[in-house]
Amino acid sequence: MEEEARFWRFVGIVVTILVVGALFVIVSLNASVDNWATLMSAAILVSMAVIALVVARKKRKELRNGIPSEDERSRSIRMRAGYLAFYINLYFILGMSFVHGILEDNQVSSLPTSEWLMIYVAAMGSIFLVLNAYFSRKGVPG
Amino acid sequence: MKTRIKELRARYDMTQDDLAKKIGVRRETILFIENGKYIPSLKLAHDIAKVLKTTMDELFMFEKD
Repeated sequence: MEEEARFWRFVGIVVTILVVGALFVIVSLNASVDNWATLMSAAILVSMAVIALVVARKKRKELRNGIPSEDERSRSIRMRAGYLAFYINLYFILGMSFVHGILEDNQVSSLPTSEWLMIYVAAMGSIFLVLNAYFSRKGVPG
Repeated sequence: MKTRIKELRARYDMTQDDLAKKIGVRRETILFIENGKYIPSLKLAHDIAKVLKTTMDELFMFEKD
């Protein structure tokens, strides 16, 4: 029952994100503010929808076969990948802030802060996914 | 860490999947425990021992032992 509820919670969150994203894309297209950014957003949204569909189908199949979506090993993998991604990203941000400082000192134009923030979040997410996959294959050190 | 899970599973004609379902974990978890790549919690070790009708002491052997 708890597993079923967790599955529907996951579906609910994904659908909400996709609906909000689709609304954003539609509004942006109508306003035709920045076509390149809108197209990028649409592409990201479609990729998210495809990935969500694959994950949902896998989870549903596992649920029907009575396989728990998570257990103590998967939780410990997620915890380890999460805290390592956090620390690695801290050093990444620190390094990038030095680069940022050097660029500013030399009056070289760089990306706006909002875009840097997007890069940091994407980097942290990617590091987490890579570490999660690594620990899932190699095991978590005891 | 070494375990006798595989041996005891064979004795009771149980697959990794069967054992995993009985104790409510994923099959991969059993695989990793058997290969010594994951050290289970006390509760999980207890549950495995109970299903395999043995004691934790009989089931798990640590290198220093």
